[in-house]
Amino acid sequence: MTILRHTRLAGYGFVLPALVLMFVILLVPVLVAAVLSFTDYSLGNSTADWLAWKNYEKIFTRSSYQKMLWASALYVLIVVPVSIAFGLAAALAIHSLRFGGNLYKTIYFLPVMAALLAMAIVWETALHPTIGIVNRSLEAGCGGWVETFFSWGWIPGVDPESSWYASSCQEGFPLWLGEKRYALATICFIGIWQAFGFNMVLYLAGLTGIPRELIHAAAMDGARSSWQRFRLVTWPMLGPTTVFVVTITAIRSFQVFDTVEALTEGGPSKTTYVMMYAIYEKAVEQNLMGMGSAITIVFLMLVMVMTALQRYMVERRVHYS
Amino acid sequence: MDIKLERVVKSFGSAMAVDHVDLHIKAGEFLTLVGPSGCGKSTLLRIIAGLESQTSGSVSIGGDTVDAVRPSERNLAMVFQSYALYPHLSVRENMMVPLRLRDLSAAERMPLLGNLLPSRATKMHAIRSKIDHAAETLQISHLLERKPGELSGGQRQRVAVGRAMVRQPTAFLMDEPLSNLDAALRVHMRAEISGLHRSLKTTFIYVTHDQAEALTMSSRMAVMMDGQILQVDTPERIYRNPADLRVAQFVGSPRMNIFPGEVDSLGRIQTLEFSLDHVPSEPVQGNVSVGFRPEHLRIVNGSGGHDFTLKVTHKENLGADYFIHGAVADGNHQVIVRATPEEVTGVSIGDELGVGCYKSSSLVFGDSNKRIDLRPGLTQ
Repeated sequence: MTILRHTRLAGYGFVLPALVLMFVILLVPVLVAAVLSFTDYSLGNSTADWLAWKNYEKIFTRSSYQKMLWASALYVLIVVPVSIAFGLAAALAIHSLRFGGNLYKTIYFLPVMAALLAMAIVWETALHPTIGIVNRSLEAGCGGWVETFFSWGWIPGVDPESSWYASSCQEGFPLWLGEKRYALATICFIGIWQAFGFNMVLYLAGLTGIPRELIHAAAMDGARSSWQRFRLVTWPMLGPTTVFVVTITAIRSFQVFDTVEALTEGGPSKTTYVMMYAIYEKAVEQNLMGMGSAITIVFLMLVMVMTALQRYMVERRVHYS
Repeated sequence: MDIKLERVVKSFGSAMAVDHVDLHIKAGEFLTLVGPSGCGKSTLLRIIAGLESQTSGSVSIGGDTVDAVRPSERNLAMVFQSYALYPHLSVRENMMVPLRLRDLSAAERMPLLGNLLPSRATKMHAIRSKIDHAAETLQISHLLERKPGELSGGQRQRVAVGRAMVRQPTAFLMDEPLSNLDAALRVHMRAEISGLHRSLKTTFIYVTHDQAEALTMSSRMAVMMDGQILQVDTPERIYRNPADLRVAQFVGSPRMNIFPGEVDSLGRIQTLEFSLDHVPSEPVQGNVSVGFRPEHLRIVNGSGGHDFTLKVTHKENLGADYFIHGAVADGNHQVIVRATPEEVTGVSIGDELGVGCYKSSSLVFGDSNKRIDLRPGLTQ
């Protein structure tokens, strides 16, 4: 009896350090944030007022926070599918190469390895309205065959004068990061540019895991086109990879911050006011810890719901061998 | 339809995987490609399937050259060593794949739209009944709704065969289909696949490294080594009458005993401490190899009457037979002798035994491993 009780106690003793660390490092901060989110605490104040649900009420009623939710949702909804589609396409293309695959892998992976903040500065220069390489290149095309081509005048029924390119040549090319129409799209573009190399590498790993015999079996069974082989073997076999890629990309997209902070600071008129930037602005810049905590909790909930949904919807239909 | 290979070569860099192979596979026969690992037999099968393209030479099926024809258009069915079942599809769906891809049009295969086409319903009905029929033949009807991951090795093997037989292919190609099964199941499946061949009457091309499978199942077997086919013949003739030393050693278990020999000035063949009664039909000079299968040697009790002696190193009990492993007295050669249990009672390791040879059953091979025909010699 006593020996048994001793071993049992010893067992608890062994897991205790891990449990303590888990609480102190992982759970306590979340709990602290959860508690703070019901207050108007500011760093340095000795006391704080209990606001109950007021912070949360603001998030779901005030227009600036609605814009924040909208910007984050749009960013995720654009970056996730596009970067996954590009990642998969690049992986399939590289996988089919006999030579040079490593070179392409390295090139496509470069944006993943580079610090996004540094890259954001490069993009800022490139997208500068007057001296940036993007607009200067576009302007250089004005009046020549480039304009003729991209004004789509050669397609019957299209009026070249009203095309984007032609009117931009007249009125100047957009301020990519300064106009409401373009800012979020530009941030999304950089996000895709950065994320798809990572997705490509994950898909490449998934592709090497597909047994060659399965592809051959598909060919013997009458799959003539590569599309048929893709539908029959490749795509289902990549199922586990896709679940992982979707989850990771979605979480990372929700967490976008560096580009927004460096390029737009949430503007213009909050079109790029994503959640991570809002947390930073409220909690760090304006020292509104209560509000920042509330956004953090909403953020956490959204990510958890999204992950759970993915597990529920995707994993049921995915085969894990 | 006959399948013909002409001067087929496959090289990977400087290595020749398949080295000028000519092979004529007759319609309806069970041809086994047998050889040690890495002899090129699987590569040859994949060339026939179209999964690999040959470096030179040509393959024809039913008189038509198929070198430029894709695997999906060759109307061959293949059973892979790993079975290659689609893990995300049920057994039924796995077996439906070849029929869906061949019989349904692209529109009928469309996920939702296809269901609206009336022609799809009739075709799917025909497909289902074919699958039920094949499943019944293979006794896997109760497994149809399961996923491959939930099946045992033997069941997966049946499903792989089932997927191959739901349509009527010109030939079945089987790439070591039994090598992932346990020994008892393997012996059982040998009989089943032979039975399947008898009932389907379709050409089977079967690749294996197991000479026992080749001997028991095939109507003809082709022994491959180093990318070349050394001999193509019925299993009986390959066993009794190997044309090449390497064939003789590869086919038969335990291996044939090989002793060095030489032709003396009178044309007789000398080996170990004795000479053969038969002499070469054509005059031969120099060194030869003399082969005796274990069943062509016998234990001779008592002194005298034996051709050579051996020192027992190992007794292998197979129940009905014993195989006595030993070293020939000169110490340079290992021998295996088949004996009955009665003959070896009291024999223990380290004993010296006299061994007699059925000399007329000996097989003699000359340089470059080629068989030397013998005729009865003149008794002197």
